[in-house]
Amino acid sequence: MKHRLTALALGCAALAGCASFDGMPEPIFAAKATVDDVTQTFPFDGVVMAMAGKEAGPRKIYRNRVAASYLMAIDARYFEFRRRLSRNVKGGNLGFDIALLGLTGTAAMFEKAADELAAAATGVAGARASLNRELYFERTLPALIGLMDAQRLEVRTAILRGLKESEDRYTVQELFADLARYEAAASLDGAIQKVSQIAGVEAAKAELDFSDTIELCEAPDDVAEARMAYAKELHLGRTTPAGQARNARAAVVAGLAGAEPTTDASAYAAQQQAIADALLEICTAETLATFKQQVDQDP
Amino acid sequence: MSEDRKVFLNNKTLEGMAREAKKLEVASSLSGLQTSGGRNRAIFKRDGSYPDGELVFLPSPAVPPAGATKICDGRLTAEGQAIDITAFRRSV
Repeated sequence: MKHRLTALALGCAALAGCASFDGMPEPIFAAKATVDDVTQTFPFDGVVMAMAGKEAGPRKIYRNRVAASYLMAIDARYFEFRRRLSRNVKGGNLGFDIALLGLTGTAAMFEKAADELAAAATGVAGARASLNRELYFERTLPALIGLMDAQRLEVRTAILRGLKESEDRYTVQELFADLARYEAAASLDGAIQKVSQIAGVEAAKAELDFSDTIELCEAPDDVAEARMAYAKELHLGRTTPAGQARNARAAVVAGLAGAEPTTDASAYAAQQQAIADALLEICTAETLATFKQQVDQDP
Repeated sequence: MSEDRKVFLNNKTLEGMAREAKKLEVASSLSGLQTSGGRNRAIFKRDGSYPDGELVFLPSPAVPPAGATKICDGRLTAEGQAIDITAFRRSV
């Protein structure tokens, strides 16, 4: 009997080891209740109809109230989604299924969620086949969540910017479209696709050729301002014969041999750039003074 | 002379690089920012302009500073970390 109790205790302990636990606190706003409340209080058709009877000022207030409610509902569902992911990973009992994602496909609050969903659906097919399930979640999940957060922030920023506008400049229909994008941004599938894009861009960036890049001294602020002022002064004088002659002399001093006073736009542009290149290599007041002296001495 | 001017940026912070790039806008305007192998460079379009307004580089995605206009997206290595950034120009 004693051995049987010990075995039972050990078995329970082993089972307990498989139990899930959360990596986030219990949320104040339960996702389902929040979503139900918002979608019942502000159904799309109802919002559009309610908007029709309002003046400009109240329209903006009403639209922003709708936006805040939906943002909260989408956030509540997103945080629940993250909790479930965290719980699955930490508990080690992950059942990888697209249905788990909750925020795509039929589980989405908005069924037509722009291009993101379609793109994500194609992205996941290849990614899911090639990624080891365990490795995928345990090692890459934090990065994917980071990407999702970044994408959500990007869309949220656009929404918040829109909410500063009047309702006729950022309509409630546009708001709902953006809310759908906001929801779709929280997709693991989309994050995987983003990783692929980033990898591609990174590969391209790794091949950047910097051999045509020049090293310049960084001029102190006062010298930088003085050489900029001098460049502008020369530029402003280009419309007069005296100014054209001065620009030609400056171009010669800058190294453009044979520069002549000119009214031709392309010839002047060449002089201007030669002067700019020379000035950008000047980082001391003394060198700038010498340059000016050579230009402005009596011809 | 229509080729862009490409110049290494030697400051280590985004703020420092923005200040450094601003000084280089002589008869040209900032058009790109790139990093490779830990080195950063600014690309200037030789458009003959002398743009007013200081430059601001912010990590992407960025909310534009008040009154600023976006110039370009790019990537820079700041304090050892390669990050996507957006360059803005403040209005004068």
